Amino acid sequence: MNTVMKLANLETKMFFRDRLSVFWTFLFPVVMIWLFGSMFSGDMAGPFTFAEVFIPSWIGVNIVTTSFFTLGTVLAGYRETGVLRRYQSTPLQPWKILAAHTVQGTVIFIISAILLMVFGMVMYDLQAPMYIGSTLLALFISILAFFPFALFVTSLAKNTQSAAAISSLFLNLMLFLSGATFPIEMMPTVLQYVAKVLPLYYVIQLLRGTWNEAPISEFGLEVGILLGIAVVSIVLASRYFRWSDQ
Amino acid sequence: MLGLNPGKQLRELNRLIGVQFQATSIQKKMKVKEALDLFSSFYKGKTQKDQLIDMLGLGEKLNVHFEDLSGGWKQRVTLALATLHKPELLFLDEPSMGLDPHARREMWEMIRTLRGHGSTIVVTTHYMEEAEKLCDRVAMIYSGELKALNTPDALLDDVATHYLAFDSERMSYEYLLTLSDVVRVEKEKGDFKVFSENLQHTAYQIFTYCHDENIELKNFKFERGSLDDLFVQYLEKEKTG
Repeated sequence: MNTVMKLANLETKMFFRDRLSVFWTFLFPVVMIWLFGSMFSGDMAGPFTFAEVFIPSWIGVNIVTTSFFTLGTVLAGYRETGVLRRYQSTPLQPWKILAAHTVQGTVIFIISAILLMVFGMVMYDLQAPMYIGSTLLALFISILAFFPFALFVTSLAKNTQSAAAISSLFLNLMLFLSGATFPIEMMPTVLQYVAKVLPLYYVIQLLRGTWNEAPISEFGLEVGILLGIAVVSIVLASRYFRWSDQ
Repeated sequence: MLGLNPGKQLRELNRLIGVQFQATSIQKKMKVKEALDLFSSFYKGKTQKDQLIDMLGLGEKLNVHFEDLSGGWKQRVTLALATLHKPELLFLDEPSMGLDPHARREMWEMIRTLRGHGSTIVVTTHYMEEAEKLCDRVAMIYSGELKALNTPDALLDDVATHYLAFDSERMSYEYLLTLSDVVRVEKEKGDFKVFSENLQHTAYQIFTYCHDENIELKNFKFERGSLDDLFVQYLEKEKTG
């Protein structure tokens, strides 16, 4: 366990040494909220305020960025440059590496979520989640679904560039089609069906719902689908995990 | 290997071996100090981290990110990571690849020191000079087949790798080929290499000939071929069948 925490701690430190990833993970979502806020915050259709809809959504989006970029793309790079292969020649067990990266990803995600929430509270009078336990559980389930999903998808890439390309594709698809940025109700019917295929859709329903409306027990369908994704992608990610491309 | 089965006891085996891969890196933003700490934590018991920092002169680079190190320093760091736990068996894949001549000599010195500490070291290299200077035993492998295995001295004793070298303006190439012990003659402008089964006798014949014909010889040397020559010789033997 000592090694897991040491590695997680180091990886977190190294994340903060890379200014670009700090910008995309922490500042970009805040800037987006601020931009959308200056456009829409006055005239929201429906019963909820701008912040009540969009802060939980962007917290959901950040699960996607963390899984695909902080975890997936970075590990694809480690595979390409031989970092993982070097580990492989030591007594370090494989699960410890994955555990360390999961811990690191979770820490970075939590920081970004708190940042968004505080920004919402200060700028847009956002209230803390109505069912805080439910929201935390929803976040946990979402991470459980997305981390292994992204690890699996990016492990199909040959190198860092293609891993980053795959990640950008998934991020943009989900960003625009899962209701995180544009209300689903405004989309054509076909796209509404597409949205429901994307896992982020369920994360966002769950986060918005537990934040503003009801405890997690009311969202059986979403929880079920996300747990299903979690099980399938954990199986796939561990079966197809590779140390190197040779 | 070391009494363990690599298929079943890989983890136990990994405690006893060290591997320095060719041209692989560690995390770009990791500091040298952090890498040494991290890899030390993979092994039980105390590692020789501090001794290695002294020996490899890493002290001044401890706070530098791996990506900011030059090629020679990167090799030193990965060598340190491979040897932290005093491995019984150490694999070095092209340890001096891409190093300047000075850094290469320093790398050799470090490898000798590690050997002095009692590790068995397996070095893969394309530089025959490196194998000759560094290794107690040399195996030559070509297209997956073992061609030779012996001490460098014994390999160099192989007859065909010995030759006479000299410079001469007027020496006749054809005459040299008529000499009974001569195996092969290489001529490049005025530089001759005469491969012979009996160097002393051939030398005597050449000197007599030059004395009679009044031909000037310069830089006459008895040369012992290098492992380079031996390698080429094995290849040529292969081609001719």
